[in-house]
Amino acid sequence: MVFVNVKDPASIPPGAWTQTIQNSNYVAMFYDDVNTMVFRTDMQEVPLLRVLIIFHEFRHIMQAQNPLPKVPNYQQIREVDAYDYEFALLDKLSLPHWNEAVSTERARLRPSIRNNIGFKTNLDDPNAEKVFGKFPSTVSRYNAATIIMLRSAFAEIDSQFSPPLAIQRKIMLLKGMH
Amino acid sequence: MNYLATVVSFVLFLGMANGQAKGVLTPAEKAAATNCNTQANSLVRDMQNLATKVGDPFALQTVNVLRNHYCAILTNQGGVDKLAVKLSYNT
Repeated sequence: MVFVNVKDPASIPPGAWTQTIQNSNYVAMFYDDVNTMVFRTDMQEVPLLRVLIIFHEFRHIMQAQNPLPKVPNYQQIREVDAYDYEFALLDKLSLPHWNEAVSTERARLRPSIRNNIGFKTNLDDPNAEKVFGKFPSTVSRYNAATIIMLRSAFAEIDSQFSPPLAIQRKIMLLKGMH
Repeated sequence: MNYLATVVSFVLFLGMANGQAKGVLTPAEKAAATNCNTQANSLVRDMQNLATKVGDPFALQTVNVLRNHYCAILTNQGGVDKLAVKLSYNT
């Protein structure tokens, strides 16, 4: 296993990671076709969020090593699983204000999820800084707000729908984001 | 925005099927590798702390895999499936 420091993006061989490095919102991405993770360090990020992103991407590595039969929405199913894993880690950490942040966000999202109406991430969620501390960048703040929104939405979906329906709703949510 | 000029990233190779050690590092490459190593070690430490705190077996396994990383310099000598890297040193 090797970390490669990409010193000069212009010298990167053309391919999937060219896009990754040129996308300003990207922190990490796993490419199962070349068994490689691209992980950017130029983006300032809260250490905990950086670590969670890496664990999320490693979940994709495990998925690639244990592939399921190809089914419709396979990529999104893998994404749901990776987020579920990431959220399980977050919940176990029992961070100060985490439960408060999630319950507040769930209350905001509840009517939209019940009535299948779209909603936006609350990018200025005041609870984000209470949970994760001071953000070193705007992108970092947005990442934190997105994690709180997604975790809350997943929890709300799980509480409102049976497991087969819940996974479909989570897939719809992720498709709407990506 | 002079974004590209400021990008410094890691590419984490999970398999080295086509990656090959090539040549000797230049001073600039060695400095980049040292920087890479410092940041990688910091990341592994943070991951170890989280994995230990939550006691998650997969997270602990992930950290053990990452602990055996190498830092390397990506060179423009191949396509995506035939990357050429100069290996520097492991941790």
